Amino acid sequence: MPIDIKETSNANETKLELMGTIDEKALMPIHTGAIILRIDLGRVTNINSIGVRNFLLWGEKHAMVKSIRLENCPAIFVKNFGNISGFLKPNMTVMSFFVPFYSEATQETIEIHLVKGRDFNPEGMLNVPPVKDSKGNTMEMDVTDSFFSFFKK
Amino acid sequence: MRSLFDEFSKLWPPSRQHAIGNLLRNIRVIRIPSDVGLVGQGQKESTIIVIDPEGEDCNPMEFLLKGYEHVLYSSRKDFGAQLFASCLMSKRPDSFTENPIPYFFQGFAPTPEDATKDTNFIRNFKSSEDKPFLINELGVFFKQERALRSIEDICLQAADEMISNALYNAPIGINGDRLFQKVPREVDITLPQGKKVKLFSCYSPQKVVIGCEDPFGSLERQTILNRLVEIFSQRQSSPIMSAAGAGMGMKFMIENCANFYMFGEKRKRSIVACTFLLEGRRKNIGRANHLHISIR
Repeated sequence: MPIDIKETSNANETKLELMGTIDEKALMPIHTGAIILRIDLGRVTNINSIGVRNFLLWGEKHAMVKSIRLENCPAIFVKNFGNISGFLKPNMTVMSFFVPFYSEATQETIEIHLVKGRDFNPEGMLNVPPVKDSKGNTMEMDVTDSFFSFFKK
Repeated sequence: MRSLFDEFSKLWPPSRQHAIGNLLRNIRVIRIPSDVGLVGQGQKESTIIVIDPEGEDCNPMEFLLKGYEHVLYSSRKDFGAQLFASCLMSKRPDSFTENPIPYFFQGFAPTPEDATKDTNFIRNFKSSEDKPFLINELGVFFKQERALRSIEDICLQAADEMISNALYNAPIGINGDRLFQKVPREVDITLPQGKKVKLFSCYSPQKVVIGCEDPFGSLERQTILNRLVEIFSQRQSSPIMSAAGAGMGMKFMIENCANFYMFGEKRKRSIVACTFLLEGRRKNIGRANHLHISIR
């Protein structure tokens, strides 16, 4: 699905809500004069290699923005934080993200929403209660350690 | 150096050993770490590198860079099937290019309930404008199988990269010059008249394969390996800023999938494919990915 971007603003902050795939056709709007930028990625379905580069360049253009808050980051987006050099800029804060859980017993998958301050702190301390599948089996986080490597920044 | 038959024939039942014995005897094996001193010896095209559990910390790209084409991990459940696929790709490449799907699905048959579904997906295309529709169709195809939900996004990401590579990087003219490699990826292109690319996918209860076949056969082994070594030698990698492509497509594919295949027949065709296990993301994203990079 091509990207669709919804913008809302008030005196202090601008919010961009991205929907679809961040790819070569995705043009993210420029708000270099903003004080706080909130980027809601909850409805981003994918990001390809050109999308990664474009997001990185977009971040460089917004280096002077005081705070860029990344919200509802999907797993496919989060894995770039630790794997791509410079993807997560110093002025960017991950406010919330999704972690996939998987049950080998039932092959079910669930994405758990983790929120800063409630489920994790900036140092990476996670506070996630056990996740169960529909049969009551404990599900495991379906990511490798590198998924959380952005906490070390 | 030992033959594949000497080393691994016990993986197949005696009745089958008789039928495939000659093929297995013509392939050599180097096991890592025990045979590390043999690396560099033997005919590279007919030698398979097998990495045993105690050798899994090594960088598989180093073996590919030395000219070997198949790097497999003995700890994987599908090791036997992948060994056999490597033999066939090495000794009988024509049968691979005629129909690669059996190579990916060695030993698997659909369950009775899957037999009622269409578990094969094949689409031909020739324009970058087709890509969003192909990705959308592939997503709908994946939704048939519940076990695919946990990896749908990484599968679609791989397909996206394959389609872009086949459209922008693969096409060459009569003189071998790249037709669209320098075209910015936001600019749409259409393949030259009469040329088309095939996107295919197929799944069983255990795995899914996604692949792309183009009719140009323009893969350059050394260029590809140099880039792979560059991106896999660092913990973090960077997209290329100075080129039209970002140079990250193969990284995304290899990192996300369980098995990676790249097969090139000069000026005839190239096939790039990934196999994903239907066992969640982590089983695919782990380090022990079978690699086949056979470009002649």
